Amino acid sequence: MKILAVARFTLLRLSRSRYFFAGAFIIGLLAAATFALGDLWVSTAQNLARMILWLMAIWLGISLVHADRADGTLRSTLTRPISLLEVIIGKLLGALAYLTLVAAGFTALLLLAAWHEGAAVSWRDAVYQLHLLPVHLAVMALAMMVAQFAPRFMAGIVALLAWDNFYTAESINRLFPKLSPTAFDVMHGVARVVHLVCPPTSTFYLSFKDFTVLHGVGDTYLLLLVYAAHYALACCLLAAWALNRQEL
Amino acid sequence: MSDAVIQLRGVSKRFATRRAETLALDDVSFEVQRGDVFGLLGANGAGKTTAMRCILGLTHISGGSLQVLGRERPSRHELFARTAYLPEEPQLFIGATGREHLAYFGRLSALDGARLQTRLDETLRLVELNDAADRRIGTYSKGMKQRLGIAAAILAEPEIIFLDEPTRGLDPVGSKRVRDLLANLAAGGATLFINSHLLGEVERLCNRVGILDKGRVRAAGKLADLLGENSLLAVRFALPGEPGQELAGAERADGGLWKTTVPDTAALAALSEKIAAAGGRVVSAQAERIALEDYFIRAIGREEQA
Repeated sequence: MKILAVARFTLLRLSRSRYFFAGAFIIGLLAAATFALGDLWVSTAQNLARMILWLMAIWLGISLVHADRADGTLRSTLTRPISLLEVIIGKLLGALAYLTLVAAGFTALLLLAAWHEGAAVSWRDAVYQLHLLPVHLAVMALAMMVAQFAPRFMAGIVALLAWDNFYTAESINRLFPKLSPTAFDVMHGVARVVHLVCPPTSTFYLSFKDFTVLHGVGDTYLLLLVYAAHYALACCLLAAWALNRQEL
Repeated sequence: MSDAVIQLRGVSKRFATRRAETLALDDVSFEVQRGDVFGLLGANGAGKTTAMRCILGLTHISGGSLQVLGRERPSRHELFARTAYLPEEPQLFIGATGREHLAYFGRLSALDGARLQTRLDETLRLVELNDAADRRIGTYSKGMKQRLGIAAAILAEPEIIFLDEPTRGLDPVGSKRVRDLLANLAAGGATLFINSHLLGEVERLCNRVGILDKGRVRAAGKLADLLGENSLLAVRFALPGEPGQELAGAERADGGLWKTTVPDTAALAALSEKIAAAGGRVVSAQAERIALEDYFIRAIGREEQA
């Protein structure tokens, strides 16, 4: 119950923060862009939405506990009979609920745009943003955990490199065609390491389609959800351990 | 029978950095009984906040023994189920309303449903914030924020309430409202542990004090006992003229008399001789309780001289 109280209050605070308005503004821009792009809307808008949600997950992850430490509210929360782990899990759940609302907003706008343009859209396209949420949970947990051990910008970079676009040499070359060989080696090496420490993202992006062929979308989604939840819990435990070692 | 809810015996706390080690608390011992209003006094940097944070388990002690509510170093969870803490600067969720903030803290303290609503209404009324309860905390004045912090502390009816400089930065009206609120809580039987360097405030509120200076306890005990032990003799005397050099320091009193104070009866005898030598006579000599401020200065000063 206490975890749910933290989650509920985190959602309330986030919904009143400037991130909410920034998110709403971006959704509006996206909607405008999809109308303008006509037939190209599905892939463009979905990729854009995916990127925005990914960046939001990273930002929420690195600032979730840090902001409360900076303004002292983490300390005052801990003057209640609640453990640090419960607070961290509750905050993560609240942030996930917030991301879910934003993703639902994206989905609703994409459906609206499709209906307006008369474009063909499948149910799978419509829920695309929502079924990325387990991965966002994993990325958010990774960013939150790393931010307890390293400066926030480092945590942000690590979480960013968990993006599947950095996983293969081809995708890095595609994103940065003029990268020097040394920079390429560093980026590729770090990205591989990050994907090793953040398996839910790599598993999801690289294997989702294969899994769905074998087991169907529903089973794969459930499997990934449980996988991401376990991963997030492990990150929460590590973050709580790191914070417990410090004077809050 | 002792009913101590807080007991510190030889507690020390060291803060070590790469360059130096600071002894913030050095062999600190005192106790607080159930129902006490305890004031921990000291100048800024004396170690008051560190002592409070050690008691609350928010920082680890380096040595000694510490008992709270009958348990040796209880866990943070166990402790905060039965106590509440108002830090020097109450950290509030400024984007939330006063009621939302309190409801959140109530839920974390296992209050829920009708019980939570009842306590919210009672507490908001007690701290006189019921009219502002649905406004964002960001719009509150400093005094209102402080009262909201106290409301959050007393919401779950804790056995001990720790308050670190509860009137710091408040204007006289705000300070008085907070003091009255604390006096009401004390009258209701709550055990309060107050850190303060405002001696007048402590003298008005507390029945037991500890004086901390540079991490060491200079005095601790019941306020009445400490000030009673250190009472002065107020002497009123008559003189045919103005007091001379030997009676320097005497002040005019009512009825054409003069007055001065002496620490004990030996000094009174010496003073009587001087008065008689000047052609006067002692009219009265009464024990007078010294003010906490004088006691505090003497306690700190004695140690510095030593």
